Amino acid sequence: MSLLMPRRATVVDIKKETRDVSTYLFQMIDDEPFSFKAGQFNMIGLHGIGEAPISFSSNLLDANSFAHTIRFVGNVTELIRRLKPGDTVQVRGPYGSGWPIELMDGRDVIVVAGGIGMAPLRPVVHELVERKKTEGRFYILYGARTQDDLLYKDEIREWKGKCGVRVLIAVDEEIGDMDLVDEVGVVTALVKNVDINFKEAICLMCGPEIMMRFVARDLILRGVAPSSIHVSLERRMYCGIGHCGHCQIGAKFVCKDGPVFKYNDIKRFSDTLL
Amino acid sequence: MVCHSSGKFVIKVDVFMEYLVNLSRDMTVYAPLKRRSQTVFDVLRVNDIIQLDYGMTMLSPTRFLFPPRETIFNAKNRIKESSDSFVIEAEDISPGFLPTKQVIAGIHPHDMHAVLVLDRVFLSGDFVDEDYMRRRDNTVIVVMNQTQVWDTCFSYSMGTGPFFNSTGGCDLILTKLGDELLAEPVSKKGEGIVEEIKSREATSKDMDARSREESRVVSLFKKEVETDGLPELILNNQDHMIWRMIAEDRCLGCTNCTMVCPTCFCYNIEDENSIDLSRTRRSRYWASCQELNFAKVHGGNFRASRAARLRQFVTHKLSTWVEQFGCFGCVGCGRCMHWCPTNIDLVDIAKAIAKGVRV
Repeated sequence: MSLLMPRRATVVDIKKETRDVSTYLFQMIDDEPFSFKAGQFNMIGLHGIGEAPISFSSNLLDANSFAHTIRFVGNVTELIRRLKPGDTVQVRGPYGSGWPIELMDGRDVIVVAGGIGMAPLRPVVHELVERKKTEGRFYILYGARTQDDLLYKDEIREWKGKCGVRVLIAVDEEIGDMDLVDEVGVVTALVKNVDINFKEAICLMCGPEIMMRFVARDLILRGVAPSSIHVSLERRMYCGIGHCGHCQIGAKFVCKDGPVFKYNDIKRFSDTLL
Repeated sequence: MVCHSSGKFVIKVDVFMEYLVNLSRDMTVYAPLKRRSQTVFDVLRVNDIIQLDYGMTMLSPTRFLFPPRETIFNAKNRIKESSDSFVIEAEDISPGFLPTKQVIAGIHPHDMHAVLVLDRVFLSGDFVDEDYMRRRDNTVIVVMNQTQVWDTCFSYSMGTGPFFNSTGGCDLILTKLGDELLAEPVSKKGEGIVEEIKSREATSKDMDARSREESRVVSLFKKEVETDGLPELILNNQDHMIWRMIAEDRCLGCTNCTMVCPTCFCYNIEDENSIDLSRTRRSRYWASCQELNFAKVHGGNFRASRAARLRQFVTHKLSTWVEQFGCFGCVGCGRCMHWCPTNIDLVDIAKAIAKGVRV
């Protein structure tokens, strides 16, 4: 069977996050085992429309189910918006590398997210909040346009209360509620509030490349090793398995070598803003 | 003097042609054939004459292993309506591909090397492209060593021609010596073919003639490129102004280079629906990194300029391919520059960078 043949999953639940983002809980229809790592992605397809690469926004949940947080911006995702519980989607995956969870033990961790970039980092946060507690210092820096545009606001309130987790939030504009906001400005402005052992720290980051470039630069100047900065990238993809060619950055296929890369491995190539 | 152990034989040209025509009654045989003013790899029919002295074909026969468009699945649909919307779901889904036995006869050595390159792309690594694999398994390949060299060909520099001196991946290697063919089988299938149509075993005289012919063809090359250090040269000059100068002056963005390249593997996937939405076909078709939207995502295009797209093509073929697959992505066939409406030449680009030319 061709690797391009999709499996199917049912929409179990839909939670509206913002005006153009919702989190979908999917469950595989067949009984074949399904497992994945945080940071990987699926090709989510609508029959008759096409497929789009979308990161997992949860860890594996009960009975072959998992979440994807989807922003409605393209041909496929605009139509995903119309789905209701009980409808089905096509699923191919999981594809790509995951976040290096194994490298985080005992180290200070900074998670940096911009906009929808919080989605692939959410399962990591879940893992760390559950597992790490006070082992190392743990910062989440999260930037969005406004507080309304933040994903997972309920969870952020929970995370803020947990000991050992420091959540810092920056928004571009002072519009609407501001109770979660620490800084008006870009995410980079939050780095100065981070109090960790930068030399030993590990950073996981996902957001616009220009944001990642400036945050990485700031962190490197503070002593973080470029190889300890892990970035998750977005590219156009049709196959997810290193064949269709669209996602290439230099010698890397973002779909199979990434989407999570060590910063220094990917920065050496052209055609990124990193 | 007969070389009993050589396993090499001599076949009469007309016997070989008749054999292929007979074979074409049972399976699809692709061969270099005259079609209007060009030689084209096409399905062999009874009255066709196979061209053994052909030069460049516009398209490489690699397209019979990786076709320009290929069905992933066909589906019958059901339409699920709700009060304010509807979705289509597949009711019955069937894979689109049925492998059939085929023969590619007369492929030139550099195009055979392109097949070996595609093997690395689609068959090595964690993900195997099953459609490609099944086509490959069902294909007999007969290599025809070159008898002529055209202006843009530099396969000798790339180590892919004009003679096929590797042994892997194909079934039979032929060298034209007058009205005879020296036949070197390199697989069981190749041995089977030769067994049926050989006229005699090859002698050391035939092998000498092969060497002389190879030297003659090698001496015809006018184009060459230095491959030592080439990947580093290109990768270290990503900011060179030549990309912008050539792209802005001459690149029309027509995608010809990537459509004729025998190693280009990029594809798009699209769904086509019947007008009543009762049927859907999902297929993949060749894509080109020279298309404006090739690297576009929501909110941006990572290669919005022609310069970036030209640089991607040349960098991939001559540099990053080596890191990805352990070989060059260029086999030196010269098609890209020949079919470029403005003759953009990746060898010239590499040479200009090597010379430190600031254009």
